[in-house]
Amino acid sequence: MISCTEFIPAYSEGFKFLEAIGGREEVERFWSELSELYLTDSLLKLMQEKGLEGCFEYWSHSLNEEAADFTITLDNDKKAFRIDMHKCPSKGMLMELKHMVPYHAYCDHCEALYRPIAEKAGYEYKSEVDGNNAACKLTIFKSTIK
Amino acid sequence: MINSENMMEENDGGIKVMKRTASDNKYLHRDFHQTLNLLMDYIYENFGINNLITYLEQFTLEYHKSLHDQLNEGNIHALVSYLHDIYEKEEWPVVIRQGGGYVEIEQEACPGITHIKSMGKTPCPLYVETYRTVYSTLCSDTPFEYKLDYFDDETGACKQTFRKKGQI
Repeated sequence: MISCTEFIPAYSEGFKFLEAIGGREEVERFWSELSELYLTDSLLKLMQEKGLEGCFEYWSHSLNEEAADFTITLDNDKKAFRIDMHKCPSKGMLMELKHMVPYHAYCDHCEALYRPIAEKAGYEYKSEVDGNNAACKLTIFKSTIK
Repeated sequence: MINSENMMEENDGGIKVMKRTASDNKYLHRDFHQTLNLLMDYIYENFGINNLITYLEQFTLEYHKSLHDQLNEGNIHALVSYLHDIYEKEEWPVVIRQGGGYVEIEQEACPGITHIKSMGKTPCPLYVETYRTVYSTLCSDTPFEYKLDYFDDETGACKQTFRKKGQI
């Protein structure tokens, strides 16, 4: 059995395995397919139905289950949803597993998964990643520039 | 206004905030079962059975290195402790029997298959390999051998045995 609590190392090893087979392009193909298959019925549906409130609903559920250290903010006036990930549980776990080397671009999967969904829903996506400290900032927003 | 149950704060300006620290929640995100399932499907459909098996073998040798080393030293208690720990974290019922040089594990369903199906999705045709390949690899080059006595692909109900080699 691979417990869901052991998934993150399996995920990271999966990226390494795919890269060994087909390079970075293969990893990105997988991320693209995963975004489509995993997030269309969940995050995209919520965003299409509820806008940025759907982002708040999606991440308030998943980040709590992942026991993340975070602040999420929905600013309806500014039409922006923001995640301040103070400590990412996934990257944090990989950094604590001293006998394993995480996939070198592990943090890239978040943007690869979420940006296409945000854009399909008509929003823009911006992120700043501090992978060495398992931290990042992500903003999904409606551009005011037409 | 603060909603203490959800530790959520809203103000009149239309701003909603949720703050958490890691210790506020238990780490149990069952949807990861489906993400792993999609990764397995991807490798299986694009690169075939042998590559999926190789991926699971590589994962096991990397992730379970410490447990593998302990088994290699004949320490079956480390395995029992590990098994109790993951089923407890999964909050999943299991029967684990330990005797002299063997461990039997019986479950009426697999937490992964159960959750994947609860999402309306289909488990990878080779989902069983998260048991067979992972635990066979864990035992490779150790004094122990692994046997998957039975496995129901529909539910993940199964019986597994780890036994010291040469022991009947």
